[in-house]
Amino acid sequence: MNSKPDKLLLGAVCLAITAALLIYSQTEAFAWDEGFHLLAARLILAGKRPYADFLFAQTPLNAFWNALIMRVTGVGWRVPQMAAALETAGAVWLIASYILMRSRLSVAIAVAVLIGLNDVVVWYGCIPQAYGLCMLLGSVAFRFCIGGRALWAGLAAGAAASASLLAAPLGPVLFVWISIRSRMRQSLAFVAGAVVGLSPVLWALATAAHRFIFDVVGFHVYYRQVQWSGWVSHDAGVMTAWLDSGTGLILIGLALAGAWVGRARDDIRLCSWVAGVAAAYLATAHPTFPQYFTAAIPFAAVLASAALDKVDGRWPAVVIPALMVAALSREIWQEHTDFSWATLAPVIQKVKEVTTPGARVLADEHIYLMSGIIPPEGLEWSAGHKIEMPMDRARPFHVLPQSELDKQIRNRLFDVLETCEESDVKRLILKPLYKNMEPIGDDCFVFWNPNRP
Amino acid sequence: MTRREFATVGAAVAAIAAMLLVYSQTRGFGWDEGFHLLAARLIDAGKRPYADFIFAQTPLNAWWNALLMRLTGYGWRGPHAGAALESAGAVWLVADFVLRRAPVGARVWLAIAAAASIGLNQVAVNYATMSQAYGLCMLLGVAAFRLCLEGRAFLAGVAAGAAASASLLTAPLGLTLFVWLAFRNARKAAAFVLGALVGLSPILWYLAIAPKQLWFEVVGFHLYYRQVDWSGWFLHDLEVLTGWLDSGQGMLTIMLAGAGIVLGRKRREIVLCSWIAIAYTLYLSATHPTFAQYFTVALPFSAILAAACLQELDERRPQRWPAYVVTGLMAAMLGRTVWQQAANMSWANLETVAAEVRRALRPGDTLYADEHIYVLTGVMPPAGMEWGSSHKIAMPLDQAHLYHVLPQAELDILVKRGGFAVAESCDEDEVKRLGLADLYKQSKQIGDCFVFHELKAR
Repeated sequence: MNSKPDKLLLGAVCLAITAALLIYSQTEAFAWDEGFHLLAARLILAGKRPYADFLFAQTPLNAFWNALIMRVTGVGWRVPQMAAALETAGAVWLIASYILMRSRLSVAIAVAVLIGLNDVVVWYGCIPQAYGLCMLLGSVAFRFCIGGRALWAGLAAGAAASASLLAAPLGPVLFVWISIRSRMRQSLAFVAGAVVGLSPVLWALATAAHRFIFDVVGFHVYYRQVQWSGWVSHDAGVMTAWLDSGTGLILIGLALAGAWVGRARDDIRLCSWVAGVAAAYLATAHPTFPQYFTAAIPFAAVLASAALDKVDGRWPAVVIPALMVAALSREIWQEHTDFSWATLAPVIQKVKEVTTPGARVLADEHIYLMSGIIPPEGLEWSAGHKIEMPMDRARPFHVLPQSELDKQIRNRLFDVLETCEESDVKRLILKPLYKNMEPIGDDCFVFWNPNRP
Repeated sequence: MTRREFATVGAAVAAIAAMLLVYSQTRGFGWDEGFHLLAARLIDAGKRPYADFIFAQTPLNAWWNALLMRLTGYGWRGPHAGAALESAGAVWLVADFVLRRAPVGARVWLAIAAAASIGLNQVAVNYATMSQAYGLCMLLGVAAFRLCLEGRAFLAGVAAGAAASASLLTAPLGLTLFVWLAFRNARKAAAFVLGALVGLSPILWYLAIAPKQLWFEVVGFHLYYRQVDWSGWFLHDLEVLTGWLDSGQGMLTIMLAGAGIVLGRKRREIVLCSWIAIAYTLYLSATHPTFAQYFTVALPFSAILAAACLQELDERRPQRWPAYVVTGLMAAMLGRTVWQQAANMSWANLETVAAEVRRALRPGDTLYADEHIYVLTGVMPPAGMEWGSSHKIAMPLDQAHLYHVLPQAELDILVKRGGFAVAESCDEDEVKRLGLADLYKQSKQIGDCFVFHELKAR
């Protein structure tokens, strides 16, 4: 049993990690893909329904959650990012406190740091995509499952899948685990909980079944790899990236060692299955990305604790945090000049300045969100343009294929056009189409006053 | 050591040597090796470094490359094969050292893990298989270390001196070994100094015939001109020095070596090895700007420390898996890096450029080119063009002549006046800055490189 000072010390470490994540979420955190997640939340807030009213290739819970946050705190990126950081910190706390119950303080501290200061967790667990929520709900489901509370475990696992399909393997693994080890009643309780957790998905299926299946399944099966010819070598690079990352090597190395040395423990066996199945599943998402694997990191950290348990002394509590802090600091320093919300501020300002009421605007999702402009039909998600299909088929799915969009641009149907893709400016020969153009920063351009014949 | 153990470790080292040789003949390439090879070519043609052309390195490696070229023909293949074999020699000396000193049972796998720590290190594979001095320095460094421990101080001095004669990156080795010996046996320390003088004889030779030039080029250049055109060297150095945090192999190597220093601190050879590794790290960190490849000279010592860590773990609880894991990880990490670097520039790319230059050249034409192209085409560079980096030395021409330096401003004038019938460059910024496209009628882009010929009438 751990003493009160141990709990306080671990609490202090978790608090420090939370503070670091919160600060990062408000300063440097940014990912291009978060734009469409935030815009989806904004559209929901404006009364639109995902799938039924706009293309949305994700399960809906995270967008609903961001919409709720925006309803309470106003439209913007800051509070959703803050919430994501807190969700991630919640996962850190849940796993570290679990380890403290099973092991020594030094191991619990090392585990907290292995999750909370992992560079990929910091990059992506502090933005309003579903990574933070999935880590939190996955950790909750794990703890409930170990604690024998199957209904709640099912609820959390179902909710995780409702937040992102990246968390989909969690529910089946926990269900099989519970089914093999306990009575039928527990399994049924898990399923009942999962049904409740999956209710946002079930609601979407009930209201717009065809579109939901196309957006959430069809898109990923048939269209994700479009315009990505090198996805096989890309995926191989992602899957082996841990070999070329100091912190990745520490986490994976310890997790593998822990899965082996802790194989007699129930919780370690469960974590091995969850982490193994999740890794295998995420590896099949072509193209895959390192951030997808954040869903498995809390479980890998539990596995790492089993390896650290076998090490004598307190050095893991010193060496691992020191290495993780040093590696993360280096990463943040190196990424410092990358794109951020601050980079977009002058672009948003310019778009607002040149947009007259009723103007038709083509912009990146972030710009729609922060300028308060509602995107025209089919422009809610730029990656949706790669779905090439006849317009009569595209319309019901709220898809605007790239070829159609290009026609609209060339016909000068947009009063204002913003892009941060220089290649598009060249490809579409945009300069002669507009009377005014302003480059902003190194990457973005705003065009206005079309040269209409 | 049984015959079987010897054969097993020998087979592992032979496999590493074969891999290094294959890599050296296919992917081995470093931009900076061009001037090393050109220096060797000039020496073979009868020119003397320092006295006849600028050369900011100690001379032994250039002599060695010149000898290899004489034996195998002009080009990069012979020196590359030489470097790969030197590196493989260092791998063998380390593996054999571990094999002889580790306890029976685990020693074969400890020796193989130590060999993998050097021979499969991606920086060593990239840089110690080409004609710069890294392979030679590793070989001479580990030879000096072993001779020192065996009490053969004179020969240890020869090896340490020769290492410093091959590259000043190894300068701390001789000093550390000397202090080590001086604390233990004054006579052996004196023998070491004598040996070191023999090893340093290439430097002493040039110090006698071109003292001013040697001093300026080997010391003055590095003190005063290395950082020119490199305003961000401090951040660059910080990035290099913390690079291991973002590298699987770096993390593994540093962690095992660090643990080896602590766990092996009661063993005499590990203490000496620790001092050498520490001295190298401090010294190489102080060369501004520093580069990851500089640290290859310390790799044999970190590999011995890593083996000490694994041996200590084995002695506490006999288990072979750490050695298997280290070997497996080093191989996997190297495989990933080689795969990812497959599209990088190589000699094969430059051979295409050299062929184009050859086509454009007529007898008597002057050529403005990267050092590699001079080597590949066999064209002798005009005076002052032996080393591209030397153009950043800005000084009055009367002073510059003494050191065979052509300052960038002078070179620019020469180029713009049409002083070169054919120009080649793989630096697009340089091509734009000099306006080469406006100077020549004919141009051709090959990958990242450009070849210009037929000067426009002025």
